[in-house]
Amino acid sequence: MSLDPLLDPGTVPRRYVVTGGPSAGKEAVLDELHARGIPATDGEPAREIYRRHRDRLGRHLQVGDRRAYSRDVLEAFVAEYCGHTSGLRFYNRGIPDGYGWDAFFGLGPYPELEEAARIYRYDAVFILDPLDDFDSEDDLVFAKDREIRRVHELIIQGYYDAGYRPIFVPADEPGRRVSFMLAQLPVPAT
Amino acid sequence: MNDRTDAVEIISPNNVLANAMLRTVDMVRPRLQAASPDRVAFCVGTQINGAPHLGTSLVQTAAFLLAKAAKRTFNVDAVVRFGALDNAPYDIRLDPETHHAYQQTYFHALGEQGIGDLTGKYYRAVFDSLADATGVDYEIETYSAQQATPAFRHEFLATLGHLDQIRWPLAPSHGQVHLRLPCPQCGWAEKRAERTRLLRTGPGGADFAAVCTDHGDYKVTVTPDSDAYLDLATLYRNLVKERLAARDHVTLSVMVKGGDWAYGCQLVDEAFAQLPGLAPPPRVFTPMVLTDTGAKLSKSLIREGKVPPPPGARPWMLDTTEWPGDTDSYIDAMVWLVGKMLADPKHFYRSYTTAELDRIMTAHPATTTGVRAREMNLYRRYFDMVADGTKTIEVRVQYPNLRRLKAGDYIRFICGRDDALTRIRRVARYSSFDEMLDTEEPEKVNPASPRDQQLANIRRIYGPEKEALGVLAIEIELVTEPET
Repeated sequence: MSLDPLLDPGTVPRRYVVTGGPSAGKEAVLDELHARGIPATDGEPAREIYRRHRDRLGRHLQVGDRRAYSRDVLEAFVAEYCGHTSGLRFYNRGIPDGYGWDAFFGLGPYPELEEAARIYRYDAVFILDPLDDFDSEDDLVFAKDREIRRVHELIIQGYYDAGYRPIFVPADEPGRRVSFMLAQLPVPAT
Repeated sequence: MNDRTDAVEIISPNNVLANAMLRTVDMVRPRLQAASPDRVAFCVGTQINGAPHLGTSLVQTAAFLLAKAAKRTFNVDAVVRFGALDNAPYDIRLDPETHHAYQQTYFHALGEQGIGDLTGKYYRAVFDSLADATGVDYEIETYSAQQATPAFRHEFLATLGHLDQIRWPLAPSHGQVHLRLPCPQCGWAEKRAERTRLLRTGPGGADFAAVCTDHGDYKVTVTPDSDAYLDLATLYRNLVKERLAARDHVTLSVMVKGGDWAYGCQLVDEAFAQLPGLAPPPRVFTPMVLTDTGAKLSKSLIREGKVPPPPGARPWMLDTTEWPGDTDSYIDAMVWLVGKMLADPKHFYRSYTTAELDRIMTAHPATTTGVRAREMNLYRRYFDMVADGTKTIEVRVQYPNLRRLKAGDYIRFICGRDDALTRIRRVARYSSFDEMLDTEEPEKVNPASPRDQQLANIRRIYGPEKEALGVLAIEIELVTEPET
């Protein structure tokens, strides 16, 4: 299938989320999309917001700081969504990611997140399978690595809770993962 | 020391490898024949992150016993080279921003002195005892010291030009190799190197970019002489180590590894095939310790309650420090056990369940008989002089395992099938062979040779780097062995 009809900026906006837990290889996939000239989020807004909060606090964020951070991230996701008015675009994480990350820190969903997840809908969600099984024979590592796996699973759960049926992208090199994702895109109705 | 008359029977079916040889140590022979090295180093690497389990002891004991067998069978000098993997993760934390795992190695957490203490705690006494029991000397090298050598770094840099080929065997599922270059400020590194990038590689070095959780973006330049720490993931580290070993034409390195590495080495071999020139060094895979399900015995899975201890799993099998006795008695038991395995290739090139090991160990003699003597090999011309009592001073360099040698210890000198038991009367330490011969009476060292000839002969056996370890003059007296 040619990508041209999807890349035509004159078409209606099509929004595809790329997400997954830490160490799922998301950055490499986003880099590959950029390298192929496919519109995608520049950088990771959530990380830039994190750094702003960290600089303001003078330390890393603690659980008590996460709600304010989560709201700012949600605001950025909504702005990106609304600013995208035509053609195809891959998003570096999506609004329902907030469910998973908040749950990881023991926080429940809040009304603004619930409302945004209902209003701002994506056309498809690609979840990158982890590049590692996060099992280590070393007990110390094992305990910490399990947290990475837990974040990943909570993110998946968040998308299901928001009514999506994610497409899982197998672990592979970034080029093959992008090809896999592009092959899943629905042919636009003309 | 070892009861050689016990009647426990190990029954092993034949297999392809065992069917091809009469002696277990014959695995080393093809390369010995082809390369005619001056000596053989049996290399064994161990992560130093905690108390060893039985599998670790089997590998280490096998290395010493194989070295002993190589000496006797092939008349070649053999040592054990112990690689302490001090780049094992000491601590892990998740970056609060990305939740990428960051790790700190034992070396970065404890420093050189701390690593020395840890090695001493778990392995020094074990290795000294193994050296005593087998007459094989050993060397200890940490991974941190090895990666700092220009030769290792040069070997690593040489692989980077082929990274696009070797990344697939090193990471077959996705091709993304974990190459950790710790932050120069704090020593922490991204465990999976998600944001580590090779910026440039070329003659003389390579530049990398990485991100520290506390110190932000940083660059690292790796050259043969730079001090940037290279923490390579397991397969990559083994590739570089084995290629480095394969270049040494003086010492033949034989990699002694636990049986599960037979699977892992398939990938190392694939990576070798992608690189020019060298063939992998010979490897000997030791028996795996299995549970009743056929899975490898895993201490951590049992401790976490994910699997029950398998039948026959004694506490000391999971943690060798639980052995009900002192280090020497544990090592004697290991030498006995691994000796039985090595006695027939069919018994060695296979795996054992904990139940079967427990059954075999029931036949292990609970008490040792006679004296526990350190074994030392001697050329025939020197052995005969010891055996007839005319040579009363033996000269050695001070390998680590000879540090504790003292008056009253026993030495059994070996030559072929002959042996002579002696007791140490005195140990004198010198900085050079010259100084030793100036102080001791040369005719006690060798009654048939003048001083200068002795000096030349000794220096033919021990090069300057060995002499630099220090020189021992060991005064001995013959002992009549008690009847047992």
